[in-house]
Amino acid sequence: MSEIVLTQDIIDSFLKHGEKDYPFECCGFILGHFIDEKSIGTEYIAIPNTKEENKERRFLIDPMAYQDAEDLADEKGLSIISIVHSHPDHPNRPSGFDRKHAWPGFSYIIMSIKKGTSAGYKSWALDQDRTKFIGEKITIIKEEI
Amino acid sequence: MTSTLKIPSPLRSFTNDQASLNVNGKNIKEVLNELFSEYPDIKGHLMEDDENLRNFVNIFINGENIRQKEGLITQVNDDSDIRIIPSIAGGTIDLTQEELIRYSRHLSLPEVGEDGQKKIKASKVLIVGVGGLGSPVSLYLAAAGVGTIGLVDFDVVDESNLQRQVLFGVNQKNKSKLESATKRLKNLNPHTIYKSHEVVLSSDNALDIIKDYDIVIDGTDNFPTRYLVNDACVLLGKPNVYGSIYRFDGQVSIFNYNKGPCYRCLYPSPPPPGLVPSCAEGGVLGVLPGIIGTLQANEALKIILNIGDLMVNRFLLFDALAMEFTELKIVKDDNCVVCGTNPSITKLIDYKQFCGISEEEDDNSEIDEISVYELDSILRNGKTPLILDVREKHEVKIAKIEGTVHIPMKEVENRLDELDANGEIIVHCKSGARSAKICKLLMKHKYKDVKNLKGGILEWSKKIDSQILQY
Repeated sequence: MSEIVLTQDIIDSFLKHGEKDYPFECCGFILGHFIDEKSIGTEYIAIPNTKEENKERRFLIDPMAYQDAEDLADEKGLSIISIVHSHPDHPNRPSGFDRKHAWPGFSYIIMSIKKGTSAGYKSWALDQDRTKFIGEKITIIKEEI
Repeated sequence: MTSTLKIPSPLRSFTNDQASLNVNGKNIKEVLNELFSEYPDIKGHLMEDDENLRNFVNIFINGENIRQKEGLITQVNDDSDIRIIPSIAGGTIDLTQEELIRYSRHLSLPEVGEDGQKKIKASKVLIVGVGGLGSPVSLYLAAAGVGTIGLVDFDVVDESNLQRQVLFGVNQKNKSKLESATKRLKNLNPHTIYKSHEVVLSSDNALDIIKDYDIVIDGTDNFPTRYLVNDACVLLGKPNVYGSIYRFDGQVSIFNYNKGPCYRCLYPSPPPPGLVPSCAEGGVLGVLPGIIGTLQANEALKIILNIGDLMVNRFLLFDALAMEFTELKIVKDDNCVVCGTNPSITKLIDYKQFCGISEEEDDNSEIDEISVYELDSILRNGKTPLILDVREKHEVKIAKIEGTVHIPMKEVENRLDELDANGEIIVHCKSGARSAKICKLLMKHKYKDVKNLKGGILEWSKKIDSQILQY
């Protein structure tokens, strides 16, 4: 089982984002480092959901926004380690649609937002053979490493 | 012809952590083949089996997406800046192919459709009481694809349940209701998650159980639990889909939803104990819970899908004999003690006491009791006290103690002249509850020597005469 290490600040940032964008899905990136088998988060960046319709059920990140975030990460000597999105009024498990649009290596954090309030979050990693998501351990630390 | 190919961070583990590579291909296809020959494991994450790019993988060359150019054969000039960029997308629960087929009749309804079916899949419904009402409710909600169904009951399946509790069959007699129900429901729809709460719902556990569900279905058969479910739903802000049945009459409504009333707005206090007989005493038409339960399931699905006109602010009465549905308008009571503007009930209370049940038990302490052993020895000694059987006629047909006088409970008060007020009378029923009421009635009418047979005919069968059928 892989592991992602996050500060409480990062978690609070994405949960707040998910609640603010409810009833629409929100999305964002976490920048950080890959160290051994662990991903260590250092900051959360909120990204606009550019899906034009059905934003309650789908999100889309503009490729340019991805490119900008990756450039920013490279400048800082960081990587995009995680893609975060919300499931309004749905559980925090990935859908088949999520799996088809995923790469291994990223931590896919999904938060469930029920009636505007966060109701739990989980991190998932795509299996190397692309057949399934596997739950990841989330370790919360007080201060950034 | 050297260009740079930038690798996205999650895929750098396939390229020995290199963020960008120098490549020499003349078009994108050649560039990718170069990449794959050096780092073969990356290929599966970029390409489909048919050698096309995965649909979420974009390749940009000097800021332009090759899909808007010539695709994989887009030319690569010297010093081009080539980037692999994922189209990052996702979304909520999807339906599997099997589910798409299973729910196809829902999917073709515009009011449900794929989005609606996903809402049903995401929903969590708690059914309190897995009996007459809980049977059709759970069967239909499971079949409809409710994602999580919680069941609360603590009983075992009794022969007399089978007349209306269609979840169960003869093979489940004396087995746990929840175990039997889960087995049956899993067979009906394995896509649903079933959670068993094999407990007596009480003030101590109700909030904890109910909090994880979106909707509560009241399939209870007694007043204390009905008030408990109502109050817990109000305190937690959950809709309470109410149904009740008695003899040939049924009721349906939705409480505590969309600013509508709760059960207490309608009935601030319970009827005095004993006034409304239970189904066991009064009987119920077997098909009635089927009708009322499916109406409850219907309202639950409408809440989940947010469609149609809900039974909020409305109270439906069904008369199976007259075949009549009557609808009453009901309104929220601002002075309601639990959902009003200044509620005095802000946590769960003792509902048995509230419904006068414990007082009733105290009252019974005034009644003289006789054990089956004592009665047996009296009879063996040749004495012949009057033994009054107050059960219904059909029960006497199933089992009776020899030498008893039979007057059904409801007729006793009008047939007192058949009973000697000065002689000893021993009253019995099935298990002792109805006979206790009759003992009280007789005492009220100045009968001096009245005793209740403890445990009724069931106890007699267990301890004294095993030839007598237990029912």
